[in-house]
Amino acid sequence: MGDAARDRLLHDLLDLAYDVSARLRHHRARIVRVSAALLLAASLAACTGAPSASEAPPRVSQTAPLAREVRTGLPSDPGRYAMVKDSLFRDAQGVYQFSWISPAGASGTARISSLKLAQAEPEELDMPATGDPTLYIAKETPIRIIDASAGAASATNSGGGGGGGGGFMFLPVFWFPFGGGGLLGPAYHQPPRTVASGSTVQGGTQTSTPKSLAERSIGLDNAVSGRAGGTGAGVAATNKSGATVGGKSGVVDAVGAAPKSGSFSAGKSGIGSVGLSGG
Amino acid sequence: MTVAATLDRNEVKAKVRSSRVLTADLKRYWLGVLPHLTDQDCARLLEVLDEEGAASGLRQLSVRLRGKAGA
Repeated sequence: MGDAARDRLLHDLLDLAYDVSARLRHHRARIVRVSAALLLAASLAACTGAPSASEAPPRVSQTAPLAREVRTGLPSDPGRYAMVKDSLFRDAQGVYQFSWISPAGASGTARISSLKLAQAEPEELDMPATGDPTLYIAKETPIRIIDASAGAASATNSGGGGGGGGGFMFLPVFWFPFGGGGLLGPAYHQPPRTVASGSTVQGGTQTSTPKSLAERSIGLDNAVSGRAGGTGAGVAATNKSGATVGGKSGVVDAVGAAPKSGSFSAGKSGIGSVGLSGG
Repeated sequence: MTVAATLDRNEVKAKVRSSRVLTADLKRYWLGVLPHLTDQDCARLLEVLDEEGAASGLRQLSVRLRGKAGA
């Protein structure tokens, strides 16, 4: 098959992946929603093509830290605000983004770099009169870590993290901040210092005061590997039909202990397979 | 799900698995979402994969014809 025919085929599949993702992103089963997002991300990556060997990006892209705190789009009044499901992201610089809805029906999208997290349901934002707000999320709710240069909008539309500064497609990392145990009450949570593209990460560090801006910046490892320091291993899950999505077969609890070894494999497009936590 | 739709999905599964264009990851993801596709999406996927087969078949035919011409 010629390159032109192959490209046309991949773009046709990408169009279909967009439509499929749009329909499945509200599926009741989280594993289906995640599978659809990953399908779209991988399809997008396949269409962009892999960089040549001479232009190969560095394995770990260290994101430049924020110059100042970010705090926009938050509710103006103190109180509790429901968080919109599946709207929560964190970029590599440490800026969280999520959408909220007030009891009166007003809504907005917040971007904030100094945010406390706590495990609780319902999932909502606690906006104080002064100080940093707290976002309450369920234990099994992942925070998607994306490439700061692409932004959450790109990740929402494409299911992926967009292209990074190094010219590679960084797939969202599913970070479960409470998976490693530790503080469940309001605290400043930090993922591991380096995360691997498309991986699932449990826990991190928790502090009662926010870390410095430089310490919040994390490295993005575009080579999916269990050897990347500080990353969680991918966990495969099976959907209802038994078709394996990801690496190993078997359903694994999203908040259970992550296995030490992943089963990552690099596809021809250079994008590694993604481990999923069952849902 | 109608019997016809079931048969289409089995054919789609086979074509996804045998595709040379899809990477291993893309094959896994398509097979993963396949049970949740609408009949229309399934038919579209089948159509696209059939195009790959047709294109590959045409290329193979072209290669064979060139081989015969050179003989």
